[in-house]
Amino acid sequence: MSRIQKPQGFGRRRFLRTLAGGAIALPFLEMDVARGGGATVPKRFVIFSTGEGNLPARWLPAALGNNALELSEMLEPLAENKQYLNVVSGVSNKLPALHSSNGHNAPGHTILSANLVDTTGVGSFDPGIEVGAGMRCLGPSIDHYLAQKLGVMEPLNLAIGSADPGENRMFYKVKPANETGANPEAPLNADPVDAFNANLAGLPEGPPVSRAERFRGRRSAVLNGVMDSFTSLNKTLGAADKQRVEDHLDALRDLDESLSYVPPVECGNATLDVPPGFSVPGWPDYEHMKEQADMMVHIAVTALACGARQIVTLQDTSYDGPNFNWLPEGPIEGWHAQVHNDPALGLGYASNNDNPNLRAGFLYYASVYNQILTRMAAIEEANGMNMLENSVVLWVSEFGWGQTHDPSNLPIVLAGGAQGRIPMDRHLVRPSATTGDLYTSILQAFDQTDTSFGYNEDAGFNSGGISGLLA
Amino acid sequence: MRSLARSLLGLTLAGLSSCTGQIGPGVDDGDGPNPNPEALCSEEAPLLVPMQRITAPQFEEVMTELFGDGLDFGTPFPGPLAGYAYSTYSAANPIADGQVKPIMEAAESIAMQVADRVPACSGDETACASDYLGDLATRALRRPPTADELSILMSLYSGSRADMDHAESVAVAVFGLLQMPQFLYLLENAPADAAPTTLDGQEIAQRMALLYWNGLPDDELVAAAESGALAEAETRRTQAARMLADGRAKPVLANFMREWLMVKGFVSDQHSPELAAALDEELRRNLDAALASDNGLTDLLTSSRTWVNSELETFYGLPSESSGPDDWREVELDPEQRVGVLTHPVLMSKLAHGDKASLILRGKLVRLSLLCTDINPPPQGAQEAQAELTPEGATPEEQSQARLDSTNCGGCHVLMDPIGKAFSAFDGAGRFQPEVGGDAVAGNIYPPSDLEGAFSGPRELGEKLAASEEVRACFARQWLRYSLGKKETLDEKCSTELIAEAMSAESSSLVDIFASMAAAPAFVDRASEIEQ
Repeated sequence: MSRIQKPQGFGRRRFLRTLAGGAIALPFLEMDVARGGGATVPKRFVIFSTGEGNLPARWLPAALGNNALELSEMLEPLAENKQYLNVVSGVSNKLPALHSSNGHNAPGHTILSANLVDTTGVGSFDPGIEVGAGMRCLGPSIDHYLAQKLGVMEPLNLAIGSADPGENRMFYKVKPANETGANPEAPLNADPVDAFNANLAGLPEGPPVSRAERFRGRRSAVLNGVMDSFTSLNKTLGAADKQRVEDHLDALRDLDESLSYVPPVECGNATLDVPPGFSVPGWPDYEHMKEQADMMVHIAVTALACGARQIVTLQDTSYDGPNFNWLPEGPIEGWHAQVHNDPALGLGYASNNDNPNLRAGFLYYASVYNQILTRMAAIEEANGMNMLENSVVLWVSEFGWGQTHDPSNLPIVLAGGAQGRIPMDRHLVRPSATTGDLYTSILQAFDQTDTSFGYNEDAGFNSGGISGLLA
Repeated sequence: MRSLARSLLGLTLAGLSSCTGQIGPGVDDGDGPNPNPEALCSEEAPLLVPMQRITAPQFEEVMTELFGDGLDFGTPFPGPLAGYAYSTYSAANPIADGQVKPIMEAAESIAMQVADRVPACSGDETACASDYLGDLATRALRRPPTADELSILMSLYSGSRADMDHAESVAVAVFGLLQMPQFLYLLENAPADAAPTTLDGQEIAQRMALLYWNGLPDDELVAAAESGALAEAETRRTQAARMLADGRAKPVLANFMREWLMVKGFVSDQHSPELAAALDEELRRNLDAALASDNGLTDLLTSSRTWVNSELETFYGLPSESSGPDDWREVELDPEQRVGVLTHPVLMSKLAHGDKASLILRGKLVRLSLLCTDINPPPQGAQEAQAELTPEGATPEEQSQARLDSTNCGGCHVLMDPIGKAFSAFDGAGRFQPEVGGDAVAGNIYPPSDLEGAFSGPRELGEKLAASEEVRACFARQWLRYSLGKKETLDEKCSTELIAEAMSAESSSLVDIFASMAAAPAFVDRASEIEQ
């Protein structure tokens, strides 16, 4: 593998900052990666983690029998991708109960590793030592573990919000067996420009954009032209026929609004649109987090589509923010306190399930997840499936209900079929399942033989996987 | 067991009325009942005709006419909604939330293929695009495009040109054209006031082309439209006859005949795939023969002539003379067993529930398709009610008798069961069961029908139906419904009967009846929604 050197004296960061506010295009650099991965299409794994759980009374879909899925209010933004979903309700993270911890540290630390925290700092767990923000787990997070098992590049860990995970410290590399010393931590990258530069620069061309992708890009313009043509109807219509035409026009408007424009992935000419005035979000308000999330989704999907990575995580770690100032409800002050339904705020809600600010914020997270799914579903791959059908995309949070910071009944959504291993469009009610089971099933979906994941020294932490999740 | 006659004593007039419809005006675009108020009428009145959307077969034929053979229709244009007698019904072909996306995807699929068929341009590309799209729109819209319409198409072209080559950009405009309401709908001017109107030449030509060919007007039809000749009934009849003689009419007529006989899409779990295919092909040959005959309805209802291959020789118990599935020969079946299309195995099998013959469905076919009797759909809980009427293991005849004896069921079932009973010798797979008695199983037609009275079996029923003017007029009425994309309303019932009688009065040829539709005033005259 070789790289073409960039011009001296014109560093990558400076180059990008110069262009900030416009489209960034990178020079062609030779890398041994190819979009679609060649003849054998790889399964990809994506984690989208968001903080503070959800609103269970509005999130939990009805249990309809036969695993039928009817989207709940908080999952409605996923409607266009319902066919790819598995909502798994009832899954719990049992690890926090073994720890001394405030409400955040233990659930946040253990959510992706399903393992104990290294509370002693020397590779062991002492239940008497309270979990601190800087501590790490005794085992790897599922993304890094899977990468090691598959023998692929380390996951691309992207932050939405801050790169400092604070109490939601949930990503750790594998500690090699019998090796002492600190577990090397896999850092998050919160800077989309840097992440783009580091991961998508110099990708080879890949296959040309297909005609189908070009036409998809014109759909909205065509529909608008069709709608314009209704004004040219020069016939006298009866009342019933007029109504038919009105219904037709309404349906076209709805269709146009439902179309998510999915730009084709161009590996060799990948670009990143950086909004004017963008800066990396930070505490306390996490300004520009929406723009950051949009760019991170683009980077993640491009990296997957172009073969730069097989595993990507997008992690919102800012449990005490953001202020969602891009939403009509924003700015939402004191997100964490509102999640708690803190009486000091005087909001007057019987439960945070009634708080419209929280509904808006969690619906926004759903829309980001949906953005990932839609972009992946738009990419057709060499095996006749789209990239989402070839993948597993997990949305998870450290809590079930944020108000009580309860790590049971987590809001788990899995999208994608893992190339036929996972039937889709289902709601699986699994009240005794654990995060260990969830990750075991994911490993098995990637053809691994693991029968447990994470902590497994006590009964009840692993039962071999989520029953019925895999075909 | 009580006799049928005794059962009928309990059948009140109110009961019959509740089966065949309610009194009062109503509109029913589906296949539900229309009441028969027995109103008197003496002259045809124009009908209200709903705007029709092109159907899936029409889309495919039009695409082929516009862009040539070899197109891939793997992304299907949406088909009709279920529950309608004919796939051409306007109500069966809406464009709402469930259709706009499939239409967009079908149009996109065609447009992407068209990109490889756009003529190369050696000069001014914009002029080339304008010329191509102008000519194309003239054919697709069945008239020249307006300046606004062409402007929209050219905007789609120019808006794409930055990212696409000339041919693809033209194809993007085609993508739009194929979704425009002017293309998708058969647009006709409705009366602006209370007075009826008559279609103009262009409107008549597009309606004739879509009806008889599923396609576009050809040069001769366009010329007749432009000259004003299509205003004359006899010109329309002549043009229709010409079009019906063209091969493009064949799939249209085949589709109508199969929908009329309720045998569209024969998929059988009662036969091997080879036998099912042979039976379907045999039915096709029977229908084609009837269409080619000067006395089509009689042939269709009374003939024992058919065609068999090796599969069917075995099925019918004939001597093995065919060399294989592709070797067909004409034979005469035993008229005591098979007579006319009503005893064809495909019909008998379609009008069954799995391996169980249904005398209800068999009687219903005769009532709906041949006698044009309106029958209300079964009330909710009808299936459960049947289970309460008879013990488990009751024979179909015992079940039927129980329905006829029931106050709630008898009013409707007296119209169907006594006719369907005559087909008892055919099992759910359409196999003849000689032990049942074949043609010796008698049936009865009860009012309302001019044919009321007993008949000795399927053969006499076929002869009775074939000789009936009522049946011939009903056939014409079915074609009228198919042609205009609707079932008549209560207010139109009488007028429709007159139109159908006129259509079927002069000839016993099915093709002549099809052609007479174009000549009928109802084809070109439109009633107003506005009351005087």
